[in-house]
Amino acid sequence: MVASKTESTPPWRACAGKAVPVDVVLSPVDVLHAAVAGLQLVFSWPNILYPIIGTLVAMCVAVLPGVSGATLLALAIPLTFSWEPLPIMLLFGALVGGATFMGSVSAILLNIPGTAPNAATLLDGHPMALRGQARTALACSATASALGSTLGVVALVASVPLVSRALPLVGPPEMLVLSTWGLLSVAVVIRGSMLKGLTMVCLGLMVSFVGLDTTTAVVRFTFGSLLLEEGLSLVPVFVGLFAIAEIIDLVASGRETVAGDAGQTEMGGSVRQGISAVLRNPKLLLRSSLIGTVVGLVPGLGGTVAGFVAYGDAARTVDDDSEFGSGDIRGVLAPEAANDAKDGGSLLPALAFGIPASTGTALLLAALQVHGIRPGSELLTTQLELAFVLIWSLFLSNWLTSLVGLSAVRPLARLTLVPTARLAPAVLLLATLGALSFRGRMSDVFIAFAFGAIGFGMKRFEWPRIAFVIAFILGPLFELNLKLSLNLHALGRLNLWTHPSVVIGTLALGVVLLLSRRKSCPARPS
Amino acid sequence: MRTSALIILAIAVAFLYETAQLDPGARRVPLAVAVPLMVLALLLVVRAFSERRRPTDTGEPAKPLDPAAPSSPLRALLWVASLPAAVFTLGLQVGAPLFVLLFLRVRGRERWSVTVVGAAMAAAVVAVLFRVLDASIPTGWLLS
Repeated sequence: MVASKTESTPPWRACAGKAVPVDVVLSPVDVLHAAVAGLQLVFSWPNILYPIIGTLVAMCVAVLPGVSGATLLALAIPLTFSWEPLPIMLLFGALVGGATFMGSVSAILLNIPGTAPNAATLLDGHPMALRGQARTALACSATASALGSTLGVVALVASVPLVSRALPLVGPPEMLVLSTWGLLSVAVVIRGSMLKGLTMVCLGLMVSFVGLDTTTAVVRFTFGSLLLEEGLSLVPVFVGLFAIAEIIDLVASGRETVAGDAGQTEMGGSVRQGISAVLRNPKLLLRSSLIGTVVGLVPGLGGTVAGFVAYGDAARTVDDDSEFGSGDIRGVLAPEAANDAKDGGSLLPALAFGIPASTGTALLLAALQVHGIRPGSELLTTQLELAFVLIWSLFLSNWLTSLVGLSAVRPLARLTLVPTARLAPAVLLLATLGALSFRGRMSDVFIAFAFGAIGFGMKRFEWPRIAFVIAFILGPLFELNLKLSLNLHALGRLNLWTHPSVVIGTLALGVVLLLSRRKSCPARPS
Repeated sequence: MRTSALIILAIAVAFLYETAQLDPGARRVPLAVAVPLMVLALLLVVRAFSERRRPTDTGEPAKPLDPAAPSSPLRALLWVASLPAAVFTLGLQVGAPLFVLLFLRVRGRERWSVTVVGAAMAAAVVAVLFRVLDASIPTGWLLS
């Protein structure tokens, strides 16, 4: 294949002070060069400030139970609307990575997971804290998080040359199969009812169709409202679903403080013991990280599933499981390593195909779309440095969170005592400003608050928001590729035998659905 | 479950009706989604009405939402909805600080010193952000 060069110097390359042309078809050496260039960009001044500040902000937010990293990402999208692509990548990589470890602090100290993926950590982490080993558990969690994320990023970087070579072969039928796979897998694998998952996927798709259809110039599903003619923008929808909905839930919970009635435990134990526990269990660390990376690839599974699968695997495979559930340090190691490793795994489908695998990557893709950065072939070839900036920023923030979090656990844990009455108006004001500053329209504020109420309802009635969000993001991709594939078929230019990946992908999709159906069926008597 | 299933069914009916009104070219893909949505919503309603009501932890049936309760979801929704209402009627520069003031004082029962500082900070954040963005602060419906 003929290699083409980039013609102009993008702003992020100008920031580095030199232009590095990258071939469209990349060799491992090109990937290595882009990786080094990305690393230089992250560690150059003043770029390094973005991941550091992003990580510190994400740490402060993620330690608050109920106010997740997704809330922060949703608020950050409109507030960074005028930024260049480079700082966006630096900041959002840090926001995604910085939130992961901190949720374990409140899980271990307060028995409340800061984020849902840290739920598996509290099973053994909090009993350890109650036994006076809080410092040991936190050190183990921090070390496992840092090493787990490293393994996840290594897997991601190693797969970039392969994926970038495969991307030119991906056409509308392949993208249709991939987006259908993303939609169906999120519906069938999420916790709870598959029926609810599928309903949310269909609903998310229908909502993504609202507004002008660019191929037929027909205005759809506006229900007579002029506000909806341009369609629903990602920013107000996500600000509503993730920031406003969480605050409504917090206010409705009636908790005086974010942590509620949970009391803090004394800080005992040793940091050295926590670190050495991870180093003494390299196989468990590797296996848990691998589980996290693989689970991260599947849309909808996310860190919660990664954590519990790794926890279950650890409990099943260790020699002596008598302490599991009552303060075994391996019960902290496994879910934390898996939870952080999944970030690397979930970035691959997001960067390569624009398919979000988790709430964090869904919001990350929204940020990229808002800033005109298109995932796919371009990002993984001519803009590979930019992709590496995101990866290194995520990697740096994972390590920074572990290091800073370990040394500042006590003051960070005190943040959970912030009164709800002070946090709620602050977040609501930021959400309003975010929605308003996006396009300067009051209608976006109304849409954000409407989706806040919808998101609150989804949370209360246990309707999976992640299925709705992934379908909302994938909707345009799904519709466009379905139309293109149908048109190609009508013109007689789509021969399935020349697209074996479509046949294989469709068969794989069928197998996944059958397996998930069998899993959801009750066992038959023998 | 019953209420939420009925809401989903109503939304599905509305989407299916709107899809049917579209031109044949424009409704091809939406129809492929609206029909399954309708079927799924019907299944949800059937399931919700066929299963027995779950009792609460105390064994009593679930109580209806009480807007007067201090931690009622309806009350929380009303509090949160008052922010866009205040911004729409009074503008951002007046509505946002007023919301913060009322929320801190009435909902949070904070001291006056905290309340006033919070409201002043809200006004300052609005002013600084719109100065940075070089945009005009939206004036409210009443003040325009």
